Amino acid sequence: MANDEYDFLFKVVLIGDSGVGKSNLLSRFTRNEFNLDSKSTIGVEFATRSIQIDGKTIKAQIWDTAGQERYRAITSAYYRGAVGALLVYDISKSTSFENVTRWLKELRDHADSNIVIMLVGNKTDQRHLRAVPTEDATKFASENGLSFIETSALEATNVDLAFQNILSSIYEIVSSKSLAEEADAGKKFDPREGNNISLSQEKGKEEAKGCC
Amino acid sequence: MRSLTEAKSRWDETFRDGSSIADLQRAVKFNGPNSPCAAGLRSVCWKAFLLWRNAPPEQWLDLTRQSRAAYTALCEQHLAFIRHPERLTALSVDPLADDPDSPWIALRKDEAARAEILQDVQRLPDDPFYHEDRVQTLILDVLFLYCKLNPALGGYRQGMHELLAPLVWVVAQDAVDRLSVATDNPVEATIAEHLDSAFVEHDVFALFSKLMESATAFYEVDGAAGPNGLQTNSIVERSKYIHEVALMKIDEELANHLRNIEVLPQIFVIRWTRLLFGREFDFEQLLGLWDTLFAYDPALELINLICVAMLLRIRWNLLEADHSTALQLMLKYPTPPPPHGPHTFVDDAMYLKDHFDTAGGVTLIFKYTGRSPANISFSSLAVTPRTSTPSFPKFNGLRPRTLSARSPLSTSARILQQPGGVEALLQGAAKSMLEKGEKLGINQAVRDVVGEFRRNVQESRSSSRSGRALFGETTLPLPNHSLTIAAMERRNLRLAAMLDESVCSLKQLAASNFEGDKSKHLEFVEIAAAKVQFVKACLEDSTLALPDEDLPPLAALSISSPTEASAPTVALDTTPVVMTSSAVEDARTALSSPSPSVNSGKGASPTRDSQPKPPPPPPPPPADDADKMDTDLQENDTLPPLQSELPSSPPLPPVVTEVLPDTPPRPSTATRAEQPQQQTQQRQQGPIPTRSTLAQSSFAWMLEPDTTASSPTTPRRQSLPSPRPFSSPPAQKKRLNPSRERNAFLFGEVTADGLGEGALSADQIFGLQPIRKV
Repeated sequence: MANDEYDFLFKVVLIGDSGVGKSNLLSRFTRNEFNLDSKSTIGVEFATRSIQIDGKTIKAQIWDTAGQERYRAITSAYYRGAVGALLVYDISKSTSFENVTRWLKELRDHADSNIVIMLVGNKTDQRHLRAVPTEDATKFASENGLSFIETSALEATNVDLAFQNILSSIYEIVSSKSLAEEADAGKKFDPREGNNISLSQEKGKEEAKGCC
Repeated sequence: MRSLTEAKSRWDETFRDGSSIADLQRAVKFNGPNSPCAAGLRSVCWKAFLLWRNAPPEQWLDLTRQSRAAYTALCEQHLAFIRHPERLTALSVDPLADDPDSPWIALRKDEAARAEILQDVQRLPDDPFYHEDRVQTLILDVLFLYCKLNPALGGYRQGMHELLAPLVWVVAQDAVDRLSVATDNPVEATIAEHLDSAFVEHDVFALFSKLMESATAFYEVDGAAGPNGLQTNSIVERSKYIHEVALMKIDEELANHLRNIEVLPQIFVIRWTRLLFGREFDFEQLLGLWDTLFAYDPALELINLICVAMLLRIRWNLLEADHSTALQLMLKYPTPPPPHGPHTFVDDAMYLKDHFDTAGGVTLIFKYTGRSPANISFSSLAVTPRTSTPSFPKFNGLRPRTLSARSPLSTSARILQQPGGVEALLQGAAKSMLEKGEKLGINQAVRDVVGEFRRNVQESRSSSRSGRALFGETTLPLPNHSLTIAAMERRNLRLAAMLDESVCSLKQLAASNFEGDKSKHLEFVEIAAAKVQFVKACLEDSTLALPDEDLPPLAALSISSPTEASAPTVALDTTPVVMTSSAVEDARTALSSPSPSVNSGKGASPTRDSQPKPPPPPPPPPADDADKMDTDLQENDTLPPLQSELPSSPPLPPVVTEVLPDTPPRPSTATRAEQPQQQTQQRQQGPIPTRSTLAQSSFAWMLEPDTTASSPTTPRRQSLPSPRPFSSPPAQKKRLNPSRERNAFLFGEVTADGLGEGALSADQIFGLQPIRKV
């Protein structure tokens, strides 16, 4: 783990109400596993997976937390250095979609202001129980400047795509602003330094490379 | 569910060693697989530890009846409409009325709360038991009621369900279907009532409520923003304490490393603590951990230190880990290999509580990993020349100044300047301690001395570092010294731990503010001084065997009392013992191979349930014994330091230490193992329990030449129960100094209990043995 090679390390957090399937999205993406009876997350879990984008190795460090942790016991540690967030709701549970607004507020309050956010409607396998129309979510996403995708961790639908999309978005932002300065290709983008990293074009220029 | 017959036999097994809390505690700790929790009724033990702690056994059933009745009333109050919706309809209240007091509104709120809980209850661990309908409902109801009764918590908190689940499992496991048993036997009737399957839910609620009294702290979130907009809450505070206070004090290197790689402890502490380590270990092991935890720490005050102990156990991995790897290690904590299963973390925590400093940390790290932290290690202090020089004629003659940086001197000689320095430091400390004590400004004096101790230890550490460079230069061409270095390092660690004991007891003394018996306090000081002196002697003479290195337990632990201050000088007057070559060989093997010494120590250490039997020559299975070692260590730590059976010592002891002249060689005591043992045996059977004599101590060599030294054919381990092969050897010397016997005492024998349990080996006391690789 310590030795593997990567060009960029991105910390991405999973948020959303309890029971929407965050942990299964994580296990599907990182281990291609799904567990119908997965235990509820207590505190934090995390896993990593590396993918290739544009010939570069991107190591995604994905953090999963208990849906109840909006109570902030570990909020600051959780969002610290995160450059991406998957905001997950359950398409069969309208309350989980209604709470998306609260989660967005939480992100605004605690995460980097330029964090890349993707809205994820999970459990599309529960077609017969759908409570949140795709259109509603699309509309909400565009109003709030989020990208949007519907997934099924159970059927492995769109899970990889969701992660690849958000990681690509992050990569584009990071590489476009580091192109000018990051002549030293060996530099890593390390989310541990993330407090100093801004994804915005203006001020991110200086800080994005100052890692490791 | 158990049959009444099985329950009865398990009940008897549970209370085989007595029914007091102390009896049960001891049994949980020492009986291993025969623990009342494993072989008996775990649910009854847990109830005893958590619910009946201050009640005599005859009240248990009453308490149980009361708490069951109370729970029944609660259900009636809060679950009536949920369990019996028809009653609500019978009320003829308009379900759609907006009245906020309407029972319908209340019911809808309750149902929402239950839905939130149910979502987690459905995701309990895979065990099919948890997913039986009746169990799901039971857990849901208990959690719902608990949250209802404790609104301050802000409703159900995720994790409570997994804290509750094992309680349910344990109580249900032991339950007896009372309706199906008919018995006239009053004892059996009592047992059946205790274990009545109709009251599993009631009993679980009582246990959970009690547990949560302490565990609430792990769930609290006040959400209030602090002055600088930062959130303050108890998990973060706790994590900070664990990292920045406790770990920093116990293992600074690790604490700094975690800070450097930016691993924030709340990330893992939140799960570790909320579930009381439920996700970190395998279920059976978890139950074992809870057994010990509930037995000794129902208030869960040791949790922080358990976290620290867990970090110490994987410290070497953590030190090499980067951010991701470290987090992974802590979120998927490696299973501790047997016999040091998770329950030993409780033992460690108890140890750390009493040894809340670097030395405590080093001791544990060394115990479990066989390695000691580099910046603490005394490896550079000395090299034991056992493999290179068969005898040590010039040892005491080597003094720091005479050696200074003269390259022609042998390696061992150069190294020795460091122990000399340490020894001087300690001597100074001990000396000033007693001098100050004499002035009866003891209170302040002890504090001073403790401070002095700390400084000296600091100095000795830094000098050890500088010594390392020197050492490195000189030993490079002599690679075969690495073994001896390792041996010496171990020895030094033991010595360090001994010093630590003394420092701790002095600190305690200072903390006690000298209330109570003055002479007792003085005795305290004396003991500490004597320990220091012992360490001094050991540092002075690296041939002096440490108690547990090659001697069986009891005898090896003896040491002269402070009034024996002049003992080394006395020794100079006696004929030095000539070491036979076989004896040297003996000593060599003893030091260079630690494993056999572990065995011999263990083999000879008496187990608590078989005191009269002589220990069998072959060592018992390591698992069993190692556990005992753990727990013995703790047991010993918690015992009061002195008992009244000790002869009262003179209130003002003479100055303990004096710098010894550079004089003749000290022969090794390694060959003296046999002699002290027999005496020990005899002494234990004596009518009046006293401290052991000097003759039994490691200083036995001071007394006279040992006629038995040249009988190395007697295996050491067997020597304890064997008859004395010699006639009253030390009598003559005793007469020379009549006070010797009276004042000599067992080193580390803090309680001096003459109850047949006195024979603790050094590793039991200090916990210094590395684990043998299985």
